[in-house]
Amino acid sequence: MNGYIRPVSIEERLMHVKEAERTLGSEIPWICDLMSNDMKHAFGGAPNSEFIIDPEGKVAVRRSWSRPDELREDLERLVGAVANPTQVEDLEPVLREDSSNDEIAVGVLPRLELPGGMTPLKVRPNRKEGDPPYYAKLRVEADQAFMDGGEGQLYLGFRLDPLYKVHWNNLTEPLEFGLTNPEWVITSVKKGRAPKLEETADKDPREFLMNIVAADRSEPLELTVRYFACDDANTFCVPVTQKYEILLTRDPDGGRRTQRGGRGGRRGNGGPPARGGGNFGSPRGPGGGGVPFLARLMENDQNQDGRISQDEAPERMSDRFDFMDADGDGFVDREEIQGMRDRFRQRGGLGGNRGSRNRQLR
Amino acid sequence: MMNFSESPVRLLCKTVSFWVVLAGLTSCLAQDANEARKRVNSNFERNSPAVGERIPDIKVYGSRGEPFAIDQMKGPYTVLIFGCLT
Repeated sequence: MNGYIRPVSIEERLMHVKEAERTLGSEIPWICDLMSNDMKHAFGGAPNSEFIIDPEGKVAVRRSWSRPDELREDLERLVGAVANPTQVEDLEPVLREDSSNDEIAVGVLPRLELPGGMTPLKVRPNRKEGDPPYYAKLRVEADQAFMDGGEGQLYLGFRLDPLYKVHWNNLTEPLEFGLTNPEWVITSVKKGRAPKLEETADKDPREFLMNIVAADRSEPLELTVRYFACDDANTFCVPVTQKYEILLTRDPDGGRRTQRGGRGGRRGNGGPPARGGGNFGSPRGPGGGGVPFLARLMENDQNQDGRISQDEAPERMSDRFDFMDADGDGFVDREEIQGMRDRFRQRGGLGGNRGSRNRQLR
Repeated sequence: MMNFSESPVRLLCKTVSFWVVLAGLTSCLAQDANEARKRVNSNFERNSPAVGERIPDIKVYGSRGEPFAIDQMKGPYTVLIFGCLT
């Protein structure tokens, strides 16, 4: 409901509690778990579980998914039936959608279609005391090929947090991001820029898809994003720079990328969604993914002789040139690049947290 | 507005206290929902306190940000439901 996004701080999680109280109108008290989700994990980690605890503080009933009918039966068994049990239909409809943003367009920028089985990755906001809120929040996912073998596709999605009632002002510069990759992580895109839209304002996610190869997943990618945060009441429109660390491991609390857009909002007026095509970095966008790792590396073959010399090798590759040059002839060719990848795979897959990088590569 | 003041729920609350925990989402809604649900159920069976076990002593927050220990949930019986807004 209302397109809420996972909070990045305990303050935001407490704002979610207030939102829950406001929208549900319930008098039932709320407990706010820590950002590390200690309580949820201590109780089995399910997102919608329920427990009945007896007077001695022991579990009387546990259920991995809340089932109100069964809960009622349990309570009748434990404490007795009530004369006139409340039914769902007895409760007033209280779910309150927020309609304050109806003037801002949604559905202007088509959502990216992702491969099935995407896995959320851990994202760590690098926020300092006094920094502005993360008005737009980053979500990162990787496809199954990457999770299995270290080579696949990486999704970045920036969604506006409805808690802050902000929008993209398309009269300003579009959102831009830059990636700083650790050694032995290569992405087909290192900088991205959202398309410039005709619509003057909207709330659609800014999404990017790229290829990624990681020979070692122990170090995070660093992402810097810049955008203008403009509130719906037109009281501020400020440039924001924010940083994240992207950990190349599954986030067990990550949920799934929602396909729905933001809450409320006016549907866009159709027509061409963006000047310059789809999102940068997407298969449809300029400079986007879809380029295999081998081909990307061979783009450094400036004299087109089918192999990369030490002079042609990019800085990232030159450190490991001798390792890649299996026959020691001073050149790295396609077979040697493929051979390197095969050797990684024989060691249990490209990357993973199996020890130091040096142990893997030397 | 959900009003419990005169409802049977309020009467029930005299013998049962209800609490809702706002926590992070688990990937229960992954692409293969059945597979993900199985994984969540399996983890839950393994890692949640079993029937008859004392609940863990966890320090969290109340709805106004005040420190809250879950053993503060006093009552003949307590219902604890986990959820999130996202």
